[in-house]
Amino acid sequence: MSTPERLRQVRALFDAVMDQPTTERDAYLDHITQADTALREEVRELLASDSGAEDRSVGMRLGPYEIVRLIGRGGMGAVYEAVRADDSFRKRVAIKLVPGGLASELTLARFRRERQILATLAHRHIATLLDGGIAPDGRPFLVMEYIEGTPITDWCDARRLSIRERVDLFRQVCDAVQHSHTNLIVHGDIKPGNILVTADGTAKLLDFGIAKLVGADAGDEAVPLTRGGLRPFTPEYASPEQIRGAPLTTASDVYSLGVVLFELCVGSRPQRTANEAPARARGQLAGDLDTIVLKTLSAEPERRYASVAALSDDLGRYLGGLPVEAQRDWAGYRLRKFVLRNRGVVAISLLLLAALVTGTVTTLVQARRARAAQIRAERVNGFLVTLLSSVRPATGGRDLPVSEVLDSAARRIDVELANQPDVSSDLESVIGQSYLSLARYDEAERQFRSALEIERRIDGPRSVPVVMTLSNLGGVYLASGQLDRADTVFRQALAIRRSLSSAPDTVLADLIDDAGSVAHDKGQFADAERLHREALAIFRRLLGDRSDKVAVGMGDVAVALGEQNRWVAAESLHRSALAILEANHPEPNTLVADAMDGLATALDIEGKTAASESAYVETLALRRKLLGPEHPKYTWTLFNYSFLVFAQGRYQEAADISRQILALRGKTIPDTHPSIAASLQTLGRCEDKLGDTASGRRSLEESLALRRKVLPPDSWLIASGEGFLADHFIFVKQYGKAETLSLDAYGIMTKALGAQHPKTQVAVSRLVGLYEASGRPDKAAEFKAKLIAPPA
Amino acid sequence: MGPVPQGDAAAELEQLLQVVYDELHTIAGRHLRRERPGHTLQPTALVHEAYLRLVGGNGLSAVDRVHFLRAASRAMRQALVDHARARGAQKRGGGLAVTLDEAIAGHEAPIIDMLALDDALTRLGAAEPRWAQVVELKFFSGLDVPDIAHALGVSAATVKRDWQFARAWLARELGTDGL
Repeated sequence: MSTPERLRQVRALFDAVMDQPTTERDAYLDHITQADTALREEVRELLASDSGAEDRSVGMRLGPYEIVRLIGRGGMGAVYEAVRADDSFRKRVAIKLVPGGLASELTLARFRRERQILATLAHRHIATLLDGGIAPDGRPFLVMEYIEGTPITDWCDARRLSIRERVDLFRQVCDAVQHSHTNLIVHGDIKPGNILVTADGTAKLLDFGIAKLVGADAGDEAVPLTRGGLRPFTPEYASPEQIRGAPLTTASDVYSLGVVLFELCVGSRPQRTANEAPARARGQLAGDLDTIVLKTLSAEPERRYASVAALSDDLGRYLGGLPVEAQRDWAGYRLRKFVLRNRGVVAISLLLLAALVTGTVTTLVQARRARAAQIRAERVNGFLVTLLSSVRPATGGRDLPVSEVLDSAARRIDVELANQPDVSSDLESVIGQSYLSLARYDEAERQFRSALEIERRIDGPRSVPVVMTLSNLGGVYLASGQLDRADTVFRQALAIRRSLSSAPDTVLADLIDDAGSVAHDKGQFADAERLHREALAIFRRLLGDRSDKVAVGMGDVAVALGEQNRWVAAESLHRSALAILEANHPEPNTLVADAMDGLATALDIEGKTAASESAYVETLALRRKLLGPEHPKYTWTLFNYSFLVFAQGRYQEAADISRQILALRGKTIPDTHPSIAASLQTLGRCEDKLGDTASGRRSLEESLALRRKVLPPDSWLIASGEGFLADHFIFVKQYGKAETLSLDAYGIMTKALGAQHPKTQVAVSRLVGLYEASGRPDKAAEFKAKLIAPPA
Repeated sequence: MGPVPQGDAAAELEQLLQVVYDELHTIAGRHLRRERPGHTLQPTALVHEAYLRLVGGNGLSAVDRVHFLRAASRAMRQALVDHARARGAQKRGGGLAVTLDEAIAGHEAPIIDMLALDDALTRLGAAEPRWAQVVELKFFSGLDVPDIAHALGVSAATVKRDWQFARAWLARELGTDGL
C-alpha cells in the first residue's frame, strides 16, 4: 500500500523515466532507484502498464498485414496503422482490432455488424472496407482504407477557408451520409474527428462503429450496442433525442451534421439546451445560411430537413445565390407565351379535378412499383372522395369552389396524412397542378416543394417521382416568369433523368420541351425551336403522329417560328396542331383553346384579319366556358384580341376590352402580371385616338413605370413602352420628350433584338417621323438610311 | 473564472455540486431501475443528461460549462458510490459495476467495481488532488485534454502526463487490463 509520499515519489520517478528515450528507460530506472528494489518494481509495473495501454499490438502480424503504430482508440476498438507485408509497395492500411481479452459475444456481434455495414457502402467520401479476418489469438479485425487526413474543422482552419469553401466541402460529407442513409444505415456518431480531409481536399467519413441499420429486424436489434442500453456517442454532436436514448434515426444524423456545419462556419459549437434549437446561431451567420443551420438544429426531428439530400440541396442553392426560401419574383417576365405555357392543363371544375387526380395517379403508378403504387392510388382516391363529398360546391360558380376545395385539401393533408407521406406527396402534386392552373403560383410552389421533400426521402433523391415534381416546380417558375429558377430546376431534373436511363421516354421529352420553353421566354428563339423540335421528335416516335403531346409540341415549335418572323410556316404548323387536337377532343378542351389562340395570333400578324378575328372569338368562347371570365388565360387571349380590334380602328371597343382586363387588377391578376402593363398601354393608345390625351398620357406612363419596376432594364418590352409613350408626345407635339424616349427605345431594341428586327425598324421609322415633324431633315435622313426595304 | 474557486465562488461551486448531485442521483436511479441485473452504467451519458436537464433553457458559456462539468464529475462519482453502497447493502457482494466510456478511457470498456475505483481515486487524490481531478473529468464528464487543462489551470502537457500516470496506476491497483 502506497502512502501519499510514496506515491509522489513513484510519480516523480515515472516522469523522469518517461522523459528518457524508450531504449534507455530500463537502464535509467535501475540507475536512479539504486538499492530500492520495491520502488523500482512498482515504477517498472506502471511503465509496463502504460506501454501495454499504448502499443501491445505493434509489430503483430494479422494475415498479410503488420501493425506499425496505434492511431487511436475509439468507437468499438483500437485502430492501428499497418502495412501489407507481402506487398512490395507496402501498401498502408488502417486496421481496427477488437481489444484483447474482452472480446465478448456482444463485442463480436457488434464488430460483425460494422463489417456488414461497411461492406454495403461504397462511396468516394466513405472510408472503404478492404478486408477483414481473424487474428491468431481469435480476435476479429477489419482492414480499412488508410486515410491520411485532418479532421474537417482543423483542415478548414489551417487553410483559412472562406465560409463558401467550407460549405462546399461540407456537402461532400452530406453526400457520404446521404449514401449511407440510402442504404438504410444511420451513422450515429458524426463529428469532426470522424470526418477526415485529405491533402487534395477530399472529405472521408469514418467509423461506422455505432452505426445502425434502419428498420433492422428484431434479431439485429437484439444486439445492443452497449451494455446498459445506452449507445456510446459524442454528446456535443448528438441530437437531443439521441441523448434521451431514443432510437437512432436519419434525423439524428441531420442534427449532428448541423452541429458540424455550425462549428465549421462559426468556429465554435452551438450553445445548446435540452429542448430548444440553439438560438444563438442567429446573428452569427448571415441570412440564408443561418436559416439552414437553424432548421438543421431543430430540437424536434420533424422540423429538421427531411433528408440529408434536402439539406445539401439547400446549401447548394445558398452557394448558387438562389433563395433558399421561395420568394415571389416576377422579374424577367416574358410577355408573349404566358397563355401557351400553362402546360399542367387542368380543367377547373370539380368533375375535372377528380378526373385529373385519376390521371396523375396513373402516371405516378407507372413511376413506381405497381403493387405499392396501387395501394397508394387507392388511398389517394379514398381521401379525395371524402374531401369532395364534404364540400358542397356553389352551383354555377367555377373558380371559387375549386379554390376552396384546394385550400381545404391542402390543410387536411397536413393534418390527416401526416403519417402517410407517400400519399400526401401524391396529393400535393395534384393540388399543386390545380393551383398552377389557377395561376396561384405561391401555393402551387409550396405544394410541389413539400411533395419534393417527401419524395426525396421516400423514393430517393434521384428517382422518377423527384424528376416529375421538379418538372412541375419548374413549370410554376416558368409560368410566373422566374426564368433563372425555372432553368435551374429543369436542368436539375434533366440531369437526374439522364442519369437514370439513357433510353428516351416522354419524361425526357417533356424536360427537353421545358428547356425549350425557358429558352423561348428568355428570347433565345432559335434555341427554343431546336429544343422543341428535339422533344417533338421523341413524342412522335413514342406516341405516334396524332397524340396530344405531338400537337402541343407542334404548337411550341410554331410559336418559336413566329418569333423568328417565319409566320407562314408558323400558321401552317398551328393549323396541323389544331386539327389533331380537334379530332382528339370533340368536347370543349383547353388544349384546343391554346392551339386556337396561337393560330389567331399568327393570322393577325400575317394580316389575315378576318380569319384571325374569328379564331380569337372562338378561343375566347372556349376559354370562358372552361375557365371563367376572370382567369388569366382568358384575359390574356382577350388582350391579344384587343390588339386586333385596335388595329381595325375600333378604338372604343379596344378601350372597353382593356378596361375589362384592368378591372381584375389586384383580384385574379396581380399588378405585376404582364397583361396589366400591356392593357394599360392599349388603353392609353385608345384614349389618345379618342381625343382624351390627358388620360392617354397617364395610362401610357403608368404602363411604362410598371414595366420598369418588373423587368430588367434592357428588356425590349420597356423599349416598346417608351415607343408608345413617344408616339403620344409626337401626337401632342412635345418633341423633346418624344426624342429622348425614342432614342432610348431605339438603343434597347437594337441591343436586344438586332438592327434588322421589325420592332427595331419600327423604332427607326418613329425617329424618322419625329425628326421630319420637328423640322430636322438631316437627322431624319440619318435614320432613314438605317431603314431596310420592307419585304415585298 | 479561475481554476480554483475562492470565497464566494467556492460556496457557489458547493451549491452547484449539491444540485448536480441530486439530479444525477435521480437519473442514475432511474437508469438502474430500468436495467436488468448485471448491467452497467455509462457515467458520461448520465452527466450529459444531467447537463441538459439542469441547464434547461439558458445555455452556458464555455467557461461555465467547464465549471459545471467539474462539479458534475465530482457529483457523479459520489452518486455512483452511493448507489453502489446501497446495492451492496441490499445484496451481499452486490457492488456496482460501471463502464467508463471507452472513447474516453481509451479502451473497450472494462467493467470496474465502483467502490474499488472510488477507493483508489481517494488514495490518488491524497498524494495530489489534481491527479484525481483529471481522472474524474475524463471518466465522468468525457472532457478532452485541452478542456481539462483549461478547467484545472494547468498545461495540456501536464494533464497528459497526469493521465498517463493515473491510468497506469489505477489499472495496477484495480487489477484490470487497462482503463
